[in-house]
Amino acid sequence: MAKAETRVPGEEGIWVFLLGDLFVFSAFFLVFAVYRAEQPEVFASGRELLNRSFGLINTLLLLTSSLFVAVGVHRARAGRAGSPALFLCAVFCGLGFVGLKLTEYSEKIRAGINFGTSDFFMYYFAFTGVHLIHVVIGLGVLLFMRSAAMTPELAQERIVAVESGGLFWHFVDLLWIVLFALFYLVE
Amino acid sequence: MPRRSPGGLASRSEFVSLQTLERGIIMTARTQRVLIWWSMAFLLVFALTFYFLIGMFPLPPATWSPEQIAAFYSENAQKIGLGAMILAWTSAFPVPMAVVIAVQMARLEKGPPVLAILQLAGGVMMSIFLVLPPIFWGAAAFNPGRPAEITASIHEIASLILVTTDQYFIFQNIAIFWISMRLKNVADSPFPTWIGYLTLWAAFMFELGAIAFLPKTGPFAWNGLFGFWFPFCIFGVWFSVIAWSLLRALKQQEANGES
Repeated sequence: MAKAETRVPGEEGIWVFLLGDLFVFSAFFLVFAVYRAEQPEVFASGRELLNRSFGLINTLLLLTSSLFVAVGVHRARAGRAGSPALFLCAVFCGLGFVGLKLTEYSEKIRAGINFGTSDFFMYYFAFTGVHLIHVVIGLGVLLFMRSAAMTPELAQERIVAVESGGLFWHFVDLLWIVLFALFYLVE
Repeated sequence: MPRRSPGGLASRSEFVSLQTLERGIIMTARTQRVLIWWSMAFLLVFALTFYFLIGMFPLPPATWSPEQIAAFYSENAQKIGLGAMILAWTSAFPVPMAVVIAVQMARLEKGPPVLAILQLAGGVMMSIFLVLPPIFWGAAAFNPGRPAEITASIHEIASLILVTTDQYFIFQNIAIFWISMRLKNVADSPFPTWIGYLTLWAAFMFELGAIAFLPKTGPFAWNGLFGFWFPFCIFGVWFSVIAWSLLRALKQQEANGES
């Protein structure tokens, strides 16, 4: 029986980046857990001040965008049309995320809450800020994927590039889900 | 490197001067190798001096009072002065490496070596922020009897310059990443895709240091896990990996008959 060919999606090199980034975000999460164990009241009261609706809508926006990306990459791989439009939809979801995040930040700052308010908010601004930079770069990646997928007959190298971009976007989405759980939900 | 043909309209004297020019410009693999080891040796001296003489590895807590800072410089004035002197010779260590990276990038680029120049500009400018802190530390230790607040200000400027300055990494690292993406299947390139992604990741990590402007304690402070340890360790690893990749590529290029 012929053995099915298995292949790691995307370029191999991008896994160096993703694993490196995962390592750093794991350190973020670990540090957060350690400091939360030290000051449970500060973290609990900080969490109460966050707007869960914003967090939830942002989670849904990123999950939806990931779905668009997944379907788009699948279509590009199968040689079917429509992936550029799907990637563009993902871009709009991403823009929605950025807009909502900035609204959330400005709401906090107007209420007198900032980086120095407490350890909870230091981590909140730092971690979600670093993540937001990932989202903004991800938007650039999505636009690159869109232009790469424009040509109807995609060369294998282009498909791999599109896959790599898709991996980055899914990764950004995954990080947000952990951040959302950590900051907004876990008691 | 293609050599210009002596034929055509070029006169003999023009040809000779061109050859001389080329000999002057083209760096042999051996020269490039010397530059890499020069960089690495100075990096080692930098690290040892920083640790043993300057005594700020990691940086002291950002919560120190001006009196504590002044006392630190009074007690260690001789050592810090000596350290600053050694670092006055060695702290621009990224420059030779940036030159070799630029030469290797220019070798791969077709047409004007735009990315190589961007990388060189970023790499050279970035070295300034390794040059400045030792000067300030030396200045703080030069006259520690001055009012404590002044010594504390000099110390804070030096420490913040060391940790928060990421302005030029972006250009150096993105240029390396970019070329690794554009030229994926060159056998003797020192910039395979994984080196490109590693470089991109390193650029991301260095950026964390800039957050040290805000907190004085915790992991983002200038002596914290994300403010100090991650950027410094990742810089050391990245710089060494780049050196290794360049040396390996040079070996291949030599075997392929290039000089």
